[in-house]
Amino acid sequence: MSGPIIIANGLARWYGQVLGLNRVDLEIRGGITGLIGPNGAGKSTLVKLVTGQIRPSTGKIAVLGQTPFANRRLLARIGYCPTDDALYEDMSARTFLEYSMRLQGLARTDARTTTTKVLETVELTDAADRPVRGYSKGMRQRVKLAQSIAHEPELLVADEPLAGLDPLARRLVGRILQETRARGAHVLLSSHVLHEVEPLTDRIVLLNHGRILGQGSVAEMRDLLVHHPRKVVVRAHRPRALACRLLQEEFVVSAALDPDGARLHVETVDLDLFLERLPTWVCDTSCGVLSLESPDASLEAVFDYMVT
Amino acid sequence: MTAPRFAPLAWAGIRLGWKRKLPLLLLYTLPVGWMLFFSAQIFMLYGAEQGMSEIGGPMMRAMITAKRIFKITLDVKFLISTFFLYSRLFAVLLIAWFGCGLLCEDRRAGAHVLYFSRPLTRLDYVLGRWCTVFFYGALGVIVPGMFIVGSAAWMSPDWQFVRDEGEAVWGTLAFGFLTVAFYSTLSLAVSAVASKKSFAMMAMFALVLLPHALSRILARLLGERAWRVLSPLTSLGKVGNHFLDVRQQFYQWPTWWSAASLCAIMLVCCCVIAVRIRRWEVVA
Repeated sequence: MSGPIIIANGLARWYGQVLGLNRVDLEIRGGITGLIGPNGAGKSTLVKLVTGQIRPSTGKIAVLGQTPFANRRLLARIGYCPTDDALYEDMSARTFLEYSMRLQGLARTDARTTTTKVLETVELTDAADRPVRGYSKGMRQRVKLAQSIAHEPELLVADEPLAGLDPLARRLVGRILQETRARGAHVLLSSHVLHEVEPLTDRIVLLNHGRILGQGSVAEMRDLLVHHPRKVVVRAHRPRALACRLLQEEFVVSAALDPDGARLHVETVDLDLFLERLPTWVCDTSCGVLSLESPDASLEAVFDYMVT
Repeated sequence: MTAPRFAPLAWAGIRLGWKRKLPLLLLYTLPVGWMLFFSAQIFMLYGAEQGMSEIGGPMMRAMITAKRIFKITLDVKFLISTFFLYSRLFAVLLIAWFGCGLLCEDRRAGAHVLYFSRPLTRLDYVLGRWCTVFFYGALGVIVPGMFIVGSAAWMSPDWQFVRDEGEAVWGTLAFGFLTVAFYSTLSLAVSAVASKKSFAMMAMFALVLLPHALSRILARLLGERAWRVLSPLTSLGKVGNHFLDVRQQFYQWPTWWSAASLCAIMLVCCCVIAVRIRRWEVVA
């Protein structure tokens, strides 16, 4: 599917007096899209609207070209990994997954085969016949993810799949999401773990107070923040000389040294021009540059700028 | 032909209920006890009627003597009606135990989101849950009832019972079905409203026993037995006895009054379930 997989026009959702989502216009294309925002931003509301659990108060939403609420045909093409535990403690992972696949509409034998396959994918084969009540947080998360990917959905919606996981489990979940994309499916990933989301996603949608603050790649969104100068940290042999040279340029807002004088913190309104001219200044001032980093080019920095 | 979408949901609920053996043992002891007691009575009475003193030993001989002295007549339909009367409160407990936790525990665990994000309608979800509780209710009410009927059919010479009183088989089925369906719907309605299984069970008993007590008080105070129609327990008995064609002097009002009362309660229950499940969507 080449067009947008999710289109929302004037999408709003109230819970009584509480506003969950406020007239959102959105187009999400294929690949892995991260849905980022603080608590109460409207991420879960958007996820529930996408997965057809709730109806919009106003506006429209189309997922894979169809309205999701109570749309059985569409819901058969979507996989949903919820944030809540949502598991039956007395059931084993195998029984739960078979049961989930039967609810998905698979025949008994197909459900069994699919379950065996997906248990291998999430590396739970050994523990598959134990009741879920004895599972760790990571194992539970993998069971939830397994039930959402087992039927090979065209769109996987994962609500906080990385929350509370140890690094190994996070890596596994990340790998599963990448594999899901590799087989041609699309992923909508809602998360708070920004540094984990960043390498996984192609694009992000930033939400706050029920509104979309921005969408695109992290770099694209950082470029939109024109009123926030870009920060660059330079470690050089003669940082004072370099600072004097930099301050002569109009596009350099400030240049400040660390208390120990080892690093130079520069703020610039035009990062591209800064990087282009830096080699010339280094030659002019004969200050060998040891390292160069831009601490606010990360998703976390973009998130902080946009939300605060 | 594929199974309906609610079938896996119902089956999973049945399997989950089956895992806890102690409640099963405790809850089914009394229905099984009543079933054996009434079946034994039928066995003895048929045996006595046929003069089978050689197979029953001293008990059978005593029964034959008692039958002659007190002119006891065998009325299987009345025995079945009595079985339903005796086991009615236990049926409430049984169905409350299996049904009251179904919706509220799903809500608490957040499991409903897994259902509503699948190709499963709200109606499929409720039907699946209803079938689960109906199954356990049927095991405690319909199966023993049919066992008693089966005993009568088996004990009667040349299947005379089936030939002469074949409608009792359908009457027993209908009585059992009505009882289980009514309490199953009620248990789901309270489960949809309550936040915990224990609260739902208390509410279910209150909804069954308080109208019963109130109807008795009103009937006593106003001197009109028809007030008893307000009690679901009594109304179920009245309609059930109508199915079995058992006449009882105590129930002096038209059967349709009781039927209407039960239908009204079931309708309210269905509305409550529908509204609450819609409400789950609102507060999701």
